[in-house]
Order: sequence, then structure tokens, then C-alpha cells
Amino acid sequence: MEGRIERQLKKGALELMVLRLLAERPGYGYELLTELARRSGGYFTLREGTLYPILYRLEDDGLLRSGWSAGAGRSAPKKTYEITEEGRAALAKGQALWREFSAAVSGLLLWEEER
Amino acid sequence: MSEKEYIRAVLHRSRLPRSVRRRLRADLESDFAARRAKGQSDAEIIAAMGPADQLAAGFAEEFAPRPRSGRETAALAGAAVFGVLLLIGLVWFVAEQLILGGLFGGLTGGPVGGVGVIGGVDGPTVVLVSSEPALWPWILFLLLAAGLAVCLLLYRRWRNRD
Repeated sequence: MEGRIERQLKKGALELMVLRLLAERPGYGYELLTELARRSGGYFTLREGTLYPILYRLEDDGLLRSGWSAGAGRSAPKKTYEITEEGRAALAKGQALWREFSAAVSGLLLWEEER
Repeated sequence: MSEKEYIRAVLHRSRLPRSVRRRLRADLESDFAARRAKGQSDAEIIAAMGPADQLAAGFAEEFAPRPRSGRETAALAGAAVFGVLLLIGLVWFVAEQLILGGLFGGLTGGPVGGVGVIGGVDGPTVVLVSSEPALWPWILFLLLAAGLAVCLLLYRRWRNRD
């Protein structure tokens, strides 16, 4: 049961987290994987098979756009993703929703502990 | 396993629509290049990405084509029926013209309507064979072609609707 709940919680948060990272600056797949792992303290160690469906879903919804960035020096060009204006608006709404959601859930789940 | 073999295995196992396969191939190639730039070997990269079938499974869940609805199946069946009838008609026409020598009049319809002779008995003779063109084979052909087109259009329209 714990595995299922954790998967569902992560699934709900990942899209917002990806939008949040890309709102700072455009990034490519491997970069997003390493940033997610680093900034979550190793909690979100994803693989490409988890990240790319999220990116494609966000791109199909118009919240991201993809392109190719010229590689620096002799490095190969990389496929990068950047957030769109619709993506920024969705992120802002998502952040507000997250505050409300996490406050409500914490209030209930941690109620006994606070008493 | 090389990069190419790994990517091919992922795409083969994922059974994705062509547009998604193109995106995934580009992203995986980009990731291989980025990881190599960080000093990883192909074996390390593949180990980090995970087995090809696991990676493919993540996509299949998200992008697998949904099962066909009843009306989509009916449209496909209709297109198949019209297509087969058209094919039978085409084969019949070719066979009747080439093998049976137009025995049944082919697309020109029925019996010869008239014979004309131009030229004298001591000169070149041109024999004109005239007949009344029959419309029904062409009408039937057009109806079958229209039926096939409508079925395919309906299938595509319903399939693309979420």
C-alpha cells in the first residue's frame, strides 16, 4: 500500500516540479533528472522512462515547447525544453493549489500529532 | 549493447505512434550525448536508463493507442468490405478484358451497336466497331470508392477524437 500511495503522490507532484525547474531556465532531459535528484535531496531519482512521458504530456498541452540548442564547443546539440506563457500560468495555479492541498492534507493527517 | 541497439530495442518494445517515437528517439540520443559529455560510457548510460523493456513500459502506459470503439470497428469493417468489392471489380475487369477478350462487353457494356466500314474493297479498310457505353459499371465503381472514402474518413475522425 505504501508503494502505491507514494507513487500516486509523486505522480501528482512531478509535473509541477518539472514546470518549476523549467521556469528558472530551459533544460534538457538529463539535466532535469540530475536537478530533480539534487534539489529533492535524492528523493526524486527518476529515469528517462518516467520523465519523458511527463515532458511530452506538458508539451502536448502547450505548457512547454522543445527545441535544439547548439552544443558548446565540440559537444553534440541537445534537445531542450522551455516553459511557455501558458506553462507559467499553469505553474502559478498549480503552486496555489499545492499550498491549499498540502495545508488541508497536513491538517488532517498530522492532527493527532499536534494535539 | 550499443546506443543504437538500445534505442531500437526501446522503440520496438514500446509500440508507440510514429510521432512519439520520433520525439523519444531524439530525446534518448540527446541524453546519450549529454551523459557521454559527463564521462559516462554507453554501458553506464544504459544501466542508468534501465532495461529497454522497463523504459518502454513507462511510455506504453501513457501513449498506447486506446482500444477501438464499436463504431470505429464498424467503420473499418465497412472500409474493408468496400475495398474488397472494388478489388474484385478491378480484377474482374482486367481478367475480362485481357483473358476473355471482352467477352462480356467489359466497361463498354453489351453487344456491339454497329459496324462501319471505311474505304473500298481494294484499299485499306478500317472497321469501326461501335457500341453503346454502359454507365452502370462506372456508377458502381464510384459508389464503392465513395463508400470506402467515407468509411475511412469516419474512422479517422472518430479515432482522433479523445
